[in-house]
Amino acid sequence: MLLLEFFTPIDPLKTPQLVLALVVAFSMLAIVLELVRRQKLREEYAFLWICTALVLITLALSTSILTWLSNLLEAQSLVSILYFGALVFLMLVALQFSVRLTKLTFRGKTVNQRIALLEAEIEELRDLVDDLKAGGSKDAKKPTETPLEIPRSATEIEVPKKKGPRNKVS
Amino acid sequence: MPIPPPSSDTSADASHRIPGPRHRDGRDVLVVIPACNEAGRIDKVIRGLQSLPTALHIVVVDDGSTDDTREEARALGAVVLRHPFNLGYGTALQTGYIYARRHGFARLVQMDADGQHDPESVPVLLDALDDGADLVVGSRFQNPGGAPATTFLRRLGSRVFATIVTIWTGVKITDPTSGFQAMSSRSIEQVARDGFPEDYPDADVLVQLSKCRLKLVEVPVKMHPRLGGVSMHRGTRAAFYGYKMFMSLALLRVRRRSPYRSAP
Repeated sequence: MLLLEFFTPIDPLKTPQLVLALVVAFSMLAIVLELVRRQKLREEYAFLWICTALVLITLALSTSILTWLSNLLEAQSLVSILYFGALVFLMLVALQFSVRLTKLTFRGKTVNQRIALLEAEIEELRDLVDDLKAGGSKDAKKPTETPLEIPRSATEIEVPKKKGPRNKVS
Repeated sequence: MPIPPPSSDTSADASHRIPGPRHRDGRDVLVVIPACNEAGRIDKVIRGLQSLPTALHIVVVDDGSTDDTREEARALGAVVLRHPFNLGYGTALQTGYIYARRHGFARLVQMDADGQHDPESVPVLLDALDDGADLVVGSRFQNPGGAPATTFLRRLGSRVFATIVTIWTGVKITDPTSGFQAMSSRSIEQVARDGFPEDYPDADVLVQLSKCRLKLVEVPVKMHPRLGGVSMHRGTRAAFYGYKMFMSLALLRVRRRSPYRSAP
């Protein structure tokens, strides 16, 4: 408080300016919290919005901080500093969104590429199945015969030898 | 054009069938053709490729077309990879690269679907690959037959980027914006990665690949004026292209690897 006496005096925040700032900040806070409550806004994205509102409220209510900042930046009016404080946080919000959009674009791109590749693969397999159903050709017979043979020979080998050691282990 | 029903006959006569990678019959050259609304032009490109003596496995990446592009390509026996919506030229190319990597193709040719790139030049590109190049750029400006006319601004932009790429890579490149290229499996491995540019991949990709110690070569190819449709570089997009390419090239040296990865 003693420090403040060294600063050149600036006109204090006028009542309508103060009221406007507080009304805007509190309604913003209310809207953001309500959106989070309804799960229309993720907590993650609400964070910077809440910060913006809190900065606005703090600057509006605390004349000492606002005056100190205004003197520091040699500002002509307190209101400009008040809204500049809020603007900085809004810029952060916008930046956060741009970064997130880049990430989402990448994800959207990758998902769509995979869909394209999978669809082509499904089409190919469908053709293969149609061939198998039609039967007759060499391509059609081979795949149906091999899966029948493998399990039969596998059980023949397993039954006599592997019983002893397996029981001990488990 | 309607697609013939797939189960109409036995596989003995399978001329209508889509030759997927399992029926590729030893064909080790993949041709990737990104296409968006190119019906009426893409069929000529595919027929041109099929009339070549080299057996090619043709893949059309349909980048969200709303016309008959897909049906035309399928009817001619090409594999079609369809994006649910338009994702951009670079992404369409990369879908083709990923396909190539997944199915283990050793050589890849990429070309436009609008008829600008003459299929006759494909063997020229492949020969350069066989001579040990990893990335072959088909240049319309090196072609003794001349290049199709373009606007002054485009030519100027092309020159500027050509100079930058030539200085940076140490390889004489006259046509860095050419989409008519061929790649070895080593190049495919690089471009199928997650950081590949989504909009206009050309000059920056050339520099990046040469930084990975891959061998760049430029060969003359035949190009024609487009058969119709709309150019990718129209109106304000050309300005964005210039901005994006300068930004991309300027930051290339200090650039980190993309933080966004996908599971393979």
